[in-house]
Amino acid sequence: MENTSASLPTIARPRQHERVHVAHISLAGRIGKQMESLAPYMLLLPLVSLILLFVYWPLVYSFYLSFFDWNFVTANKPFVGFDNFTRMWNDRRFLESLNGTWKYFVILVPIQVFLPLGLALMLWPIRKSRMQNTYRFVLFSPTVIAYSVAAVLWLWIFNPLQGVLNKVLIDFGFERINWLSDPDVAIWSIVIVASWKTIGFHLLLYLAALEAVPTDVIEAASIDGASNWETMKSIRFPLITPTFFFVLVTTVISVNDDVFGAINVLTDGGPFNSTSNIVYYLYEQGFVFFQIGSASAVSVIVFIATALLTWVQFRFGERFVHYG
Amino acid sequence: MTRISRRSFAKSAAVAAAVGAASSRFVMPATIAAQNAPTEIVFHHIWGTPPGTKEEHRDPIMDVIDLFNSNEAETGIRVVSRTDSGSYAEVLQKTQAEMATGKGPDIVSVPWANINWAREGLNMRPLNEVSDQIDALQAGLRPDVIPLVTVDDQMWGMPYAFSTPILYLNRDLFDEAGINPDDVLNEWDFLLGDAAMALREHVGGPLLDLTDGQWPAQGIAQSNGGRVMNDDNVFVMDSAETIAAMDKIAELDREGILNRSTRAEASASFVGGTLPVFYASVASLKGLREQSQFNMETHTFPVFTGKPRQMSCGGSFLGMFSQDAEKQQAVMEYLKFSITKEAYELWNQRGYMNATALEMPVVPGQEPSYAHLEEGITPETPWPTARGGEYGAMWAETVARIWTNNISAEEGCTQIAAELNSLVGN
Repeated sequence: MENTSASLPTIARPRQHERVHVAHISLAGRIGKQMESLAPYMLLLPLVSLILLFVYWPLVYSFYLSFFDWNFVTANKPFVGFDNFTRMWNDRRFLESLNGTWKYFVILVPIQVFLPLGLALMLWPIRKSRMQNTYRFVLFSPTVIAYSVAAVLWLWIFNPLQGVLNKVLIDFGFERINWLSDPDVAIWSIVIVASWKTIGFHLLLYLAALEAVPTDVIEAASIDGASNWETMKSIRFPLITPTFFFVLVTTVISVNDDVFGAINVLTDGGPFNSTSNIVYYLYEQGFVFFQIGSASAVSVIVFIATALLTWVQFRFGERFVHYG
Repeated sequence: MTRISRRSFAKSAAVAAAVGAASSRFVMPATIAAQNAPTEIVFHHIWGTPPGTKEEHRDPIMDVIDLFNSNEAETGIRVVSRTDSGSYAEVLQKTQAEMATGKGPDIVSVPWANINWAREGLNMRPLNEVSDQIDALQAGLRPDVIPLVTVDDQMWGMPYAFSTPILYLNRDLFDEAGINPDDVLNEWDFLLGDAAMALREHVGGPLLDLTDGQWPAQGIAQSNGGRVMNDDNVFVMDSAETIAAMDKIAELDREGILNRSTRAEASASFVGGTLPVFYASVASLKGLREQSQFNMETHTFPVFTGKPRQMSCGGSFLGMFSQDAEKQQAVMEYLKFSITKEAYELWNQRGYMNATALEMPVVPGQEPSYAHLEEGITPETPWPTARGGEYGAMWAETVARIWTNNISAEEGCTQIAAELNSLVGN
């Protein structure tokens, strides 16, 4: 080896078999690099496939189905163009459900966003007390109770003849209230149940966000003489705005979904559609009246409206969020 | 690495061929066994027994199916029972989903009001398709129930879960007030009379629940000489008779006689002993009797003075959904079996009315339903077209509005008749 290397002034060109070896290495290297760059995609592939299959494919297929009067079963599948979209505007039940959707939105979004925030701010100062755990347990437990079970409880509470609410009202000399069968009252009963079910989860999110506020900033503010209100207004609240924004966006998206369980179990949308909303209307069209085309058209409208609302929130709301 | 030579390859191939030939001896009997396998038919219904239920609460339908399957060796048919839900709508929904995948059930319990949806939307087959057995099947049924499932001269199912609405009453409340139920419940006007007012005073609340009353509304209209839909599928609930019948119930609401609540609340109030009278299917007899802690009795629906009562049927019939001729034969075998004496004696315990030509004992409490039947029962409104369910819901909402005085009977009936007739193109 020494002799050979000594006889060669430079390593000008590798011999044939060495060139092949180098080529192998560079090819393997290239493949390895490519594999390395592909690895994240390969790892994501199973999950992305599932999302495509179970989220985006149904979305696309719903859009397609909304142009047909078909129920998956009949041999003939007539194309009806935009009929499913135009028909619903002549349907009183759809218009009433839109009215309900709007009412739930206006009533429940503030309740579900601000009430837990207020509760969290009240519970925060007693975070070292055992009472906070008790309050957390009491307020959070409805979230984990199934709607079917919760409904049985509320049916007994709201029962007009023997429910505890009316018993108390009558004892205090008030008139009996038909909590679920009076069209002016029923929507408020649904609001009560839906809020009772949701507030606990949002409360926990806010408490966790308050916990994450750096204590040194708070201490610095108090040394500088900031009052509790000033600390809250200028430090704590700005630092929990990402959580506030998250709660706001998810509540706006899901508020009408969240009340579905209460509507379905307690009132079936009644009396006279006064508690129905667009999600319940969609369910009725698809799964009670078996009108898949109409239900798909409603789902397309719900999708577009939700996407639009979310865009508006990000476009105009995110500027107020402090990401630390 | 093992090298494969031509010789070793040939050897291996020979061994494989020999093993294949030998194993085919075992495959053959399996194939024959497959040919002899029973024809399996899936029966999708609402009467399943929830897991963990005590033996005495097992639904009688399961005994009927087990009895049929015990003869599997002779019939070559096995019935597979399926209950995914206790709701008729959900059973139809599952049926729709399964039909979409090409694996639909063979027999389904179909509510009478959904007959057109099942025919037009779910490819339910007329029993006449199994023409050699239709006569035998019809011979086993009461003649007056066959028209209830006959559309366009074809029989679209077998009347089975055959019911009618009746009144359930808390006899203890009547006795405490010293009032005979007949003095309150024989005629609609009696519910506005002195006895009814005395009972209302005693209980301190409404007397009668007719919540979700689309079903009894049909019978109430008919008992005053009106109709909901005529034989030409024209909606005629705007007739003077129907309007007057609806207004009579609205009057009960104005006088505080009618209960206002959801159906679930009304049921709880009756079982809890605070509501004196509650309407439900005759099939609820067993369940309500088990739940109530008071002396519960049943009663016929009130009549309009001087007019005959004519209630509608309810419950469900057994529809045939098999598209395959062999399975359709098997379905017919099961249907014929289910109205034999031994099978129907089991089913009769469920509390539905007897739809067969057999003599069956009347369960105490069922008498009002048989009185309705003898007086002439009509089919439940077969809401036309595949959108029928939606039309039924629209009528139900109008009934609820009228009965709670949210809208006048005349306005409500006129509006809904015009709206429905326009929707179905009348």
